[in-house]
Amino acid sequence: MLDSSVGKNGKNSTEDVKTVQQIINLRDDLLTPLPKLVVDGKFGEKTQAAIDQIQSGLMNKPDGVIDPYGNTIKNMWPVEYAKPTGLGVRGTDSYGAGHHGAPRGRRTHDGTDYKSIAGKQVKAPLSGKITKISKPYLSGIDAAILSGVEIVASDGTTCWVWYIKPSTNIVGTVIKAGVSKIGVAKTLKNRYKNGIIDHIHIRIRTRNGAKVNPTTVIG
Amino acid sequence: MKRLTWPFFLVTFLFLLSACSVLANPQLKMNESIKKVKGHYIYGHEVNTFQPCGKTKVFWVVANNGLLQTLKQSHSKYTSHPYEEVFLEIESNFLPKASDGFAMDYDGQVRIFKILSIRKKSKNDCGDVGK
Repeated sequence: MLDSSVGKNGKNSTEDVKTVQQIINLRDDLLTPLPKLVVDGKFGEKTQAAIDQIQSGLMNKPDGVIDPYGNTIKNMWPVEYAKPTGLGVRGTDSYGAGHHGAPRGRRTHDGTDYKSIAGKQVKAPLSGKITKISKPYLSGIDAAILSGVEIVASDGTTCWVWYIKPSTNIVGTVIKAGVSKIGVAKTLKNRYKNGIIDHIHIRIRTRNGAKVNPTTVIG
Repeated sequence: MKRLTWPFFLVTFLFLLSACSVLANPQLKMNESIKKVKGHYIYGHEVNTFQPCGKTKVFWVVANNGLLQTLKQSHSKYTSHPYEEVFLEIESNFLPKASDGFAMDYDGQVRIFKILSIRKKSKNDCGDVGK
């Protein structure tokens, strides 16, 4: 979620300060009695006071700084998962199956497909920050019509959600699993005739790039 | 003088034309050669890949809409199950591993410029090269 540290003697880049300000406002249970912050990416006394206040509720020796992948950020915005559509895993249809490990030619399915209803809201499968709009396909008609998002969690876990229409201006937004709406599901039936089950594709990697079976963490 | 000027303008025009086509397609650089390659192609939901004969590496296919549509239709014509392989001979060049999409799970990308042959897979597809 953070590229560099925020707080006392931190680098305090605009983007990282914005992320921290968003999280502070979402954790008003720890911020009280201080008021919420203006999310402007500018580091100043109010942001530092909020960091100190929140750390005093999380640790014995507050140091006034939030480091990438450090304990403060992990406690402020824990890694949590939730089912993105509220529906189960795509079963077998005429185009294959949606479970992790299902055949995909010479490879196996690297993610998990969760059934979806076209036009319905999709919620964040992982708590973190939307870091970019991600495209499942790089060329052809699919590249033009199918999209998604990349989410990075406080421990560096990265999750890609494909076959959705992302919400407007969502990049840079801090999101909570199962609560934040990240977009609406797209239909795949226009591209794959004869009965494909509409779904969204979830792909997860740890910070060091290890593959994660989404079903083991999302359910 | 006129005799010398015309060839000069012609050469300059052709050079600018080739430079423009490269600029229009940033992934295609001047020193990248287009080669004839044989191998096996798979099309399916979330799969659009090519494995050259004699290689273990698998490449994600990149092409214009027309070529992708032809590949999809031809694959469907020569197969009866999802993710079945077909033989494919192409004019193409190879690109680095992608950083987004399903393509990032493969060893690299292959940009197809021309389909020379596509047919049902058979034992002798790769000749002496093997697979």
